[in-house]
Amino acid sequence: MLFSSLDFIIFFVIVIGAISLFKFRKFQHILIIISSFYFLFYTDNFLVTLLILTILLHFYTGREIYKSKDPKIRKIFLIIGVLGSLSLLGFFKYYDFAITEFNILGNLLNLENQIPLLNLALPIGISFYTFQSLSYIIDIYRGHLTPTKSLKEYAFFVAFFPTLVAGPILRASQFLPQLKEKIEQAKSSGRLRLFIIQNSALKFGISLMVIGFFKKMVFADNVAPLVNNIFSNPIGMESFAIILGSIAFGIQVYCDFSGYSDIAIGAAAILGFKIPLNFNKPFFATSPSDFWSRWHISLSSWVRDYLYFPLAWKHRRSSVIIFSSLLFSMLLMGLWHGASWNFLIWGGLHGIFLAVFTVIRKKYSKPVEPFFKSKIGKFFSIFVTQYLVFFSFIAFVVQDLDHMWYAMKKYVILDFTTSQTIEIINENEFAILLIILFVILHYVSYRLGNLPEKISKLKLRYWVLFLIFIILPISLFYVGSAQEFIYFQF
Amino acid sequence: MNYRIIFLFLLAIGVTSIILLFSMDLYIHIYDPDWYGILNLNQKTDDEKKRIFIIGGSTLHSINAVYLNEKLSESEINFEVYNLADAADRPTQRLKSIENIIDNKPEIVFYGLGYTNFEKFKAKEFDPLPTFLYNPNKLIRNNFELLLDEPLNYIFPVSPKERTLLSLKYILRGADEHYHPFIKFKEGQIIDLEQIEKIEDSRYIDALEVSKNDKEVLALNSIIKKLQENNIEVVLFSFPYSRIMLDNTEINEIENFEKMLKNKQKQFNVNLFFLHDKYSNLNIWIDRVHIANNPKTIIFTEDILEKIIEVID
Repeated sequence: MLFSSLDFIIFFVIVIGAISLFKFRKFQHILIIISSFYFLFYTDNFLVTLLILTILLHFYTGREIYKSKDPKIRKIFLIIGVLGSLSLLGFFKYYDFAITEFNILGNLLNLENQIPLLNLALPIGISFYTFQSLSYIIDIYRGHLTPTKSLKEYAFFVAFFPTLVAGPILRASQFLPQLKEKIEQAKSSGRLRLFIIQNSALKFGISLMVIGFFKKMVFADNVAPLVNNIFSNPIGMESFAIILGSIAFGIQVYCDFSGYSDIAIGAAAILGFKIPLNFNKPFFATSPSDFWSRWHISLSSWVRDYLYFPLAWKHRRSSVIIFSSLLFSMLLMGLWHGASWNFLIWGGLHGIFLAVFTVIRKKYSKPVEPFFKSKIGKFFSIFVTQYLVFFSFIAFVVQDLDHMWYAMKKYVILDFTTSQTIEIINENEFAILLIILFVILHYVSYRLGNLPEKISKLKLRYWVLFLIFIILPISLFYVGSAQEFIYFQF
Repeated sequence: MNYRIIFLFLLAIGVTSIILLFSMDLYIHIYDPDWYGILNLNQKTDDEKKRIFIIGGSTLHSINAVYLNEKLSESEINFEVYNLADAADRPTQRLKSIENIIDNKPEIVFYGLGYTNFEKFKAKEFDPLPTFLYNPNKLIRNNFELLLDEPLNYIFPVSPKERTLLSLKYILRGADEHYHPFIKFKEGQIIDLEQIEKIEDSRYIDALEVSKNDKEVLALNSIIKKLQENNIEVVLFSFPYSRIMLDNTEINEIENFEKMLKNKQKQFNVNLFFLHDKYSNLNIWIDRVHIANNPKTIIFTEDILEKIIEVID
């Protein structure tokens, strides 16, 4: 069920309506859990059983990890939980990729038999809810979290429909306490709370959802044709066309994914849940590590806390260990995005950028610090960072390795010809205008800070004008059918 | 929950819906061949030539008006042809903008019609509960269509973006292509009929509604009448279909359609010619219903040219 479809609007209105009308605690919790399963069932049919399996696996292994005093038993249950869900993820997501590569290797070695592919459908959201569940049992193992006693509560956390299929990846330590009723300011009771839709949350949630729809349906969907125009077959494209394409794709994927996150966070806010930001003006990042503290924050922090730190923490004084841990973590992050070499390359590139930056900063930060604190220095660091980020987007969008190599060469070694680029611009005027508009709006929102919060605090008459101002272009520039979100394929 | 916030949100949606519905056909209501846009206010058109408008649906997009005008010019015929074909056009839709057509003072209007313009609409019946579980969108849509007795596509625009951009560009700098103001006459590929058959689902036309009280037929009558009242000559023709479409339509339904047009010919004393099966077996198509915009498909334009010269003479 796509967020930008009538189906979701109908579904969401029914859920909100039912919660508002029937103020019975147990009914509300069961309703949201069933709605969440229905939400996934609607798109994925019987594959909803994988979600149920994941929930049961991690709930019970989490409980056993907490109960057991023996470190060996605790480790065994942790391994069961981790391997269990990673096996499911690995099977559905990577089996066909592994077999394809194995068959290619077999051809090179003149092996006669080929292993047949299963052509498995990728279950929607599996990458997200698997990581969400893994963080639960790992936090219990580390002693950072007390497991919930209620399966209902745990199911609510994992299956929560606004974040189920494309994040943000929730942490149990942030989300589970929100499920409990607050009796006094600091304490929470053991009971799951009654949901009451607050006015401020409603206004904020609607504002954020509308902004999310605007990003997705006006920017992302209308810039996509320009990206396809350039990258469907980039061979023969001029350098400036490639650069234009990578900028367009960066804006498309940002608007697509941050738009989705906004809708998810807004929907959760209406239901009374605070979900952390998933994007924070990444195109103003001043370094690769700053970029990853602003882009897909829930995933990058997950990788940092559950992959990078365990690998690098003990030997953090060693540049080699840091370098290789960063590279390995980012390679896996790339692979998480898809079973394909281009995603591995994309992750690898970011790993190299991060690693080189980290090592350089460690060794040379003091002499150059005053420069980078100045305005020119900040502008320079933003420019260099974004140059590298948009370069890496080529690996994200171009699957064919020959095409990718060609595009990357053209990005770095400029040919200074413009005739084809001008033709592309003329054929895609609207997309170009949107790119310019995006740059302006993005800068304005960067200067203004938390724009959705400010908008939700407007007086009602100005708030209505804002809604009309945003909903009108959504309806006028709607491409005609709900377009899938890019991150659904992960 | 504050119902005021909900009310204001719904109000915002209501206001934008009204603006959307009014703006979708804006370009066709304000169209003027002499308009070159706010950015080109000094540009003028050739006022001396008389005008011929070709109106109808997207199936007429491939009539190359530039080619027609070149040929008319070579023969020193003092007429200019404008292809005003508009996507999803049908008589009830075209009637809404007929005053604009009349205001632009054409001498002759060639109106292309297809039997699909008169397809009998029947909202599908679904079993409610399973549909609601698997596809609530379809259930809502079907119930709306049953209520309105019309496909939702007729009321709500399929691709608002295209129409919005058309209007905006037209206001700022006039038609992208002077003789094809509503569509981009871009060269397209011809796809083999066998290939089209493989990649596209067959579309069966169950029944047509061409009785004299049908709203599309009544709209057609009104269009012809209004044009004739303003001394505009009307030429009706049936637009081409591929064999894939014709093979999936009952012959007697096509005959009813032909009969209806012949009745109009007699009733209003208009010229009429049929092209619906003329090119059905030729490989000049891009899909089941559209001839490709391609130099190799010029046969359609040339036949129109022949008819234009015949009518002028």
